[in-house]
Amino acid sequence: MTETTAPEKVSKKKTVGLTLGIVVLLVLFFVFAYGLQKRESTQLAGAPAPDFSITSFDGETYTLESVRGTPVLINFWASWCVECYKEAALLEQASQDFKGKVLFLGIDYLDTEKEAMGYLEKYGVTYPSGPDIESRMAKAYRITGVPETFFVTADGQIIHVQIGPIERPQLYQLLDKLAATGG
Amino acid sequence: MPSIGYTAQVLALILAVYAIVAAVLGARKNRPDLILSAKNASLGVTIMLTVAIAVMEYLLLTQHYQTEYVAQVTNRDATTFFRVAALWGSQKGSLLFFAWLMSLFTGAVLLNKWGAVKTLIPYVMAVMNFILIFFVGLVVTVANPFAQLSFFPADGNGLNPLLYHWGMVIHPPVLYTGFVAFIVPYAFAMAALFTNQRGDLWMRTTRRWTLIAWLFLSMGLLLGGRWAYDVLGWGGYWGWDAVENAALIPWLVATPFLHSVIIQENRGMMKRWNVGLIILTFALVIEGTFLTRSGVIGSVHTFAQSAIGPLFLGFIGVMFIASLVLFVSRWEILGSDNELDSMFSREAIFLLNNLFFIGIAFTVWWGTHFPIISEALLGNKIVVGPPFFRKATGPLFAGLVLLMGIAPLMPWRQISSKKLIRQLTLPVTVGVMVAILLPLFTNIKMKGAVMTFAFVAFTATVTLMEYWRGVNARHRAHGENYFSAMINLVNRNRRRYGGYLIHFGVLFATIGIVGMEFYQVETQQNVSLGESFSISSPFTGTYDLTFEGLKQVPGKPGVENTVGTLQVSHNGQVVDTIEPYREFFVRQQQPMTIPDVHRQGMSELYVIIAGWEPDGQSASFKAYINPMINWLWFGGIVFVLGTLVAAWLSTEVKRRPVSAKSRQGTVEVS
Amino acid sequence: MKKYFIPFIFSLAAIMVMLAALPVLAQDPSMDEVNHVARKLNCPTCQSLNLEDCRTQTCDQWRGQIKDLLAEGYTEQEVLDWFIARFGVEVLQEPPRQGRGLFAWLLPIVGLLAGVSWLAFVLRRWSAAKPAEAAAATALPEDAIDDETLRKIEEDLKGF
Repeated sequence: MTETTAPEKVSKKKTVGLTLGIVVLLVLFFVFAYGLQKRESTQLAGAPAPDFSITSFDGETYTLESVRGTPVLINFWASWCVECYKEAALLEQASQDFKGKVLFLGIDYLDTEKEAMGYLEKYGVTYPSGPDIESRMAKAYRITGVPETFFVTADGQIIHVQIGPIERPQLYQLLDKLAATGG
Repeated sequence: MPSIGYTAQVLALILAVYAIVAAVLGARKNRPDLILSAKNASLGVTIMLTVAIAVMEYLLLTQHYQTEYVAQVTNRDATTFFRVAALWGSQKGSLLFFAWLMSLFTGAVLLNKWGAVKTLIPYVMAVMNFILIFFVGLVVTVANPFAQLSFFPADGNGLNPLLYHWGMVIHPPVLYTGFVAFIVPYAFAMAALFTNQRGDLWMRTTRRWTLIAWLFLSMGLLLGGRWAYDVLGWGGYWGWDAVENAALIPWLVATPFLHSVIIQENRGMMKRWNVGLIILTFALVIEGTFLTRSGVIGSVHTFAQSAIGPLFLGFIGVMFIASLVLFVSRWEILGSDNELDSMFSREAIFLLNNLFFIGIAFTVWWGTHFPIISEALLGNKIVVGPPFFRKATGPLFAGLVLLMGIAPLMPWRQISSKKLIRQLTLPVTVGVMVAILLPLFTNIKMKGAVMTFAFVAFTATVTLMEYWRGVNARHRAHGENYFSAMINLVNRNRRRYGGYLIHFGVLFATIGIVGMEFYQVETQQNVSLGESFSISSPFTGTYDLTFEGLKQVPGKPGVENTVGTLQVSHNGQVVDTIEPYREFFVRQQQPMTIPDVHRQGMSELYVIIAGWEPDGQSASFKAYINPMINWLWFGGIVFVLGTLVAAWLSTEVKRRPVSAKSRQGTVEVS
Repeated sequence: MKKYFIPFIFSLAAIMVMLAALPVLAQDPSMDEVNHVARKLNCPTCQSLNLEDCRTQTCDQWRGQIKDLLAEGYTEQEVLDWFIARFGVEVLQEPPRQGRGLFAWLLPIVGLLAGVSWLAFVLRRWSAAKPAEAAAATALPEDAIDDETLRKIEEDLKGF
């Protein structure tokens, strides 16, 4: 009446169907669970700094290896980022004050070169700054927006993650801490 | 006052848990008193949630900003209308709203007299309350709209500017209603499977509920499209965005269900398909809700990822696995009474129909999920935008238009090829003629457009023939004049002829869609005061738009509008002045680009202001010509009308299950 | 003659400068040309808007970049490749038809083919099982199903 096949065949079909269905559901749940994972930069505070490779607008290449031994301030910015304007001059000033003690690296996020250069010129930025190709560094550092600043010790530990623009007292305090870790 | 609302939520949760226990126990132990108690508890859930909603509205209307949610979605500038609508303005309130709407349907189910399927009701209650427990549980724990701030803010933040329009106010309630209403057929399906029901009486008796759910979902989708067109200012009506797709996919699975259930009623076939489709529809509703509320898709820029996500994931895990296991375990019971006789039969066509719809549903689902799948399984994220969806689903949709025309020609079981050819002659001739004449005599030359229009013509002919045959038969058999024949025909076969009207709605809408997808033209130009630019399309001619001025005017409270005035000339004559504008919501620092249109027949000139110089001396405008767009909206109206006709209480249902013989009144098998 | 020498040289220089400028002027891309390319890219900071429809400053700048590249003589595909190289493949509106993006296109096609072959197989099996019946289309009496179902319901109800 229903299936002309024998009952064993039907139950085999059912087992196969059920297994397949459950496998598909499990894969889906795994994908969802992965997507739900919170991946934010603040989780990196206290952790080793992820590797990176940035070529500055001047043509110099900086990697995590190449800067080992020097404390680094990594600042993600963009020319269209209104909040970044608030700290741009301050960061430049700080880079001058800590010259030789802390390396400042500007990472240009999702930006166009013309406007980026205009931004650098407007705020008189002298420390190296480079475009984040394919946003690889932004993904590695799990940024959720710009500006975000990472304070990395000489041996590659992130001691602080700053979401949003930073104020002078806190900035200098952290830079002192960083400078102390250097050689 | 807020604590009253919160307590009501908690009580609803407790009652729902009790209802499940009492219902299952009552059914197992054959205790009608327990079942009655469960029923009262379920109704109590509805009442409690209504209280919670009432309290929330009260807090919104009295500007109780200490309630965090009120501060989030309203501010002092809000009008009464939008204070009320702010209930669904953000996550927490809309979750409560969703749960409440669901409870209205579960309550209605219990207030209904079910007659022969009464035995299923305890299990139906258990399933419905299980779903409710999850949503009420969310608002009781991690998404509490009654949460209080520790201080009393002077003002709130205000509704998201996107929501400050009438379309967006109607669209969520209608859409949510469509979503939640599918709980009824789902609960019945699960209850029927659990109790090893072989028959399909339950499917017949819940058919109208399913149709209503489908109607609201269809309307919700249409409203969403209309709103996008009117207010979002990118000249289109469907963006293939994850949230839109999450609403479309269940519809793509519910529609074939409504069709293949006809096969089940007439030949007792495709039961597995139908039960599977119903379960899948509701599962996709829940999955879509998960997708849009958990922030899984569109990561960085949605709400902060709260605990809603993981909890929701756990819930759908349980629900999906339970549904799958139950469905597979009852596989044999759902076997068909009959076999398929021929490839040339209505059954086979409906099977093909199912396949097409499932194919489109899967394609849209896959495209929507591919970004997270590629990120989780393949390493890097790949974005899937509208071009993918258009290319992948377009041909399938066109195929559906054709199927709509083939199916009515196929009778049950089989047909001889000679007869088939005879039936096909007129429609095929019409279709072929359209395919030949269009590129020769009109501006419609693109292959895809011509082919789709040929299909439309073919199907329109078939559908008209159906009406004609029925009317003619009545005229000859009963001597009625054609007018009353038509009335009586539709009256006695509401589902069939209402259904054909729905098909006409689809055909009209297809005209609009083809016009837009193939022949929309756009241009963006910078013009100074007094200067003009032009845009032309073979379907409307040439428009010249002259920039007359820019002005800043206050709009709604808290909103500044920048209005660009354009004079529209057509073929040298001034025909209109249009004023597209940019709304700037000061508090939220968010702009909205609102278009203005000039209608010409069924087409439209649609313009937005893209930018301007501060001195108002020049501005940049984006103009579109949308050929045949109004066929889409007209088709939507016909579609809804057809559904109302099909759903209207017909004499058929009243007679069942007294005697099957009384169905002889209907002329044809529908 | 000598007094015309300098104006002559001057004019010649001016003409040469203008001629040099002409290619740039002639190639200044229109907004429509920019939009045509922008349509194929995603707005980097928006939710599901393409680069053409987005009205943020970031998008303005990106469209400006497209304009510059087009003015330099890049073709549409070269502009897209430039953006992919700079910002990653997720900047495209449509998944590329190679590499990982291929999966996006492949699965629906595979699914559809699988469905069609299953349908063909099932139809053939079902219609082979039953011998071909009379050519006339028959309307099945619905009474039979109703009675059967009714009977079953009555049985169920007896036990309730």
